[in-house]
Amino acid sequence: MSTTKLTDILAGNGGFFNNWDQVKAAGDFGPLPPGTYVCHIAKSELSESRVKQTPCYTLTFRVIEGDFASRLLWHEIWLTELAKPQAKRDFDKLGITDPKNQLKQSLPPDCVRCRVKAVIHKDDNGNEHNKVKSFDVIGIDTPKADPFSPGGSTEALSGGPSS
Amino acid sequence: MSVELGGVCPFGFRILGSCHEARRLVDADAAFVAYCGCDERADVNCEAYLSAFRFGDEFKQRADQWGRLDVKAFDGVCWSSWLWFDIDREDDLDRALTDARKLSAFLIERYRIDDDDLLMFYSGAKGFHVGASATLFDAGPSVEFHRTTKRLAEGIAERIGISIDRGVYDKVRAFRAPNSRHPKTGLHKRRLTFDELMGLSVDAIKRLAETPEAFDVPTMPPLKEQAATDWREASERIEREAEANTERRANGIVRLNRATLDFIRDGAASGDRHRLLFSAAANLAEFGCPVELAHELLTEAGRDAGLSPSEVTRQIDCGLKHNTKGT
Repeated sequence: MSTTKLTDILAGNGGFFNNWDQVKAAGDFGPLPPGTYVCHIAKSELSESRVKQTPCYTLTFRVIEGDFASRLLWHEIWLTELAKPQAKRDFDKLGITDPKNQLKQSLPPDCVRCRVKAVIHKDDNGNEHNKVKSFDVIGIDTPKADPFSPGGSTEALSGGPSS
Repeated sequence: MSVELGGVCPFGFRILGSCHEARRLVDADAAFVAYCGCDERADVNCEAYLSAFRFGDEFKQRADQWGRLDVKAFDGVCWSSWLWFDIDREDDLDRALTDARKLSAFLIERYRIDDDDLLMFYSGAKGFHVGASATLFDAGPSVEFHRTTKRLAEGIAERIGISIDRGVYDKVRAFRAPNSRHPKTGLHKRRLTFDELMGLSVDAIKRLAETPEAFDVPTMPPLKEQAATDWREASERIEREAEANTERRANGIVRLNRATLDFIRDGAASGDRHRLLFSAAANLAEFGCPVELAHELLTEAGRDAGLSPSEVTRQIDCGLKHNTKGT
């Protein structure tokens, strides 16, 4: 049993608990509440699932509006025979009509604006995580070059997602 | 800027936000000067990093059409206009300040330079950064520039009895940008004059760091003979070690280092954990240790030392690769 006294460790701050009832408890950094979020696709990359090494194309969505701005959501587009129809649906939304060639390059970051519907799933251990139920592309924002990119360009970058 | 020394290495990277964000190709000088000067393009109220080293055309070719870089396993020529020392002390900023003072005074005395030839910063969190100009050392770009810098910094730190973070000499290391804001403390990486560093208390320095302050990058001082000698010796030590390693391997003389055993058993302190994990992996590679076994042996100790899973994987892979290259 600990012998440390509260008065010792709070020395000089004896009133620490005086307004305890008025303190608003901080929320845990848990999953986003179920709902629809406006996001950018921050990252898109070919990858594999951790356990079974199933090939997929992972989209990382960054929330850009509302209280949860800057939080991230992930969506895997599975590249398997079984999931082909779903992959085609998602790729069509992204303007990827020739995946064999277009997937060699990732999408421009923070450019494709989407409306993303997220839900919460719970596993057998009670752990909760977000799952992207669906997404729709609602606009294309012009990506800006880094202000310090070689050549000093502050102009918008040319190109964009194929759509 | 030293065009003569670093002209072949004009490129660096910038990270806006945390280190998980994309590395974007930048003009290294333009970005550094802008952060020092609190240029509005730099947006110093955000967390931001610049590459600790700068690079040439082969680095630029790693950028995609959006300027995002793949820096993994880059092993080309590098350079830096400043040789950095990073003094971090978890929960003991007073001690870090004492050591930063000791280091700055030593550099000024040893190389007979002016107070304002050094760049000194409070990092905005748990330590201090001290930079000395590459021109003092006549240190030009090379594939081994980062290793020579590390060896030089280690030699100086040992000489004056302080410990430095040896992880900042990774070739593609991100280094907090001047004046940028630390996300956890809300404080800025604030430049300190020599008098401020020597005279102010930790509390006073923290108060200064509540706001960024623009400053001009000091002009590069001329070469100093002692500094050039120190650089040359560090460079020669690197070469000798590489030769000795090659010879050792050629002769089949392989030993499990004490440091490797110590790392597996006890882990490492924060300033040295990257290096020790790297070295342990390199040592295991000398035995022809399978990659999977090396990861099994070292991952837990690396995680216990506070490294992230990706950092652990990277240090182990780099250590294993380092030894198979025969350097």
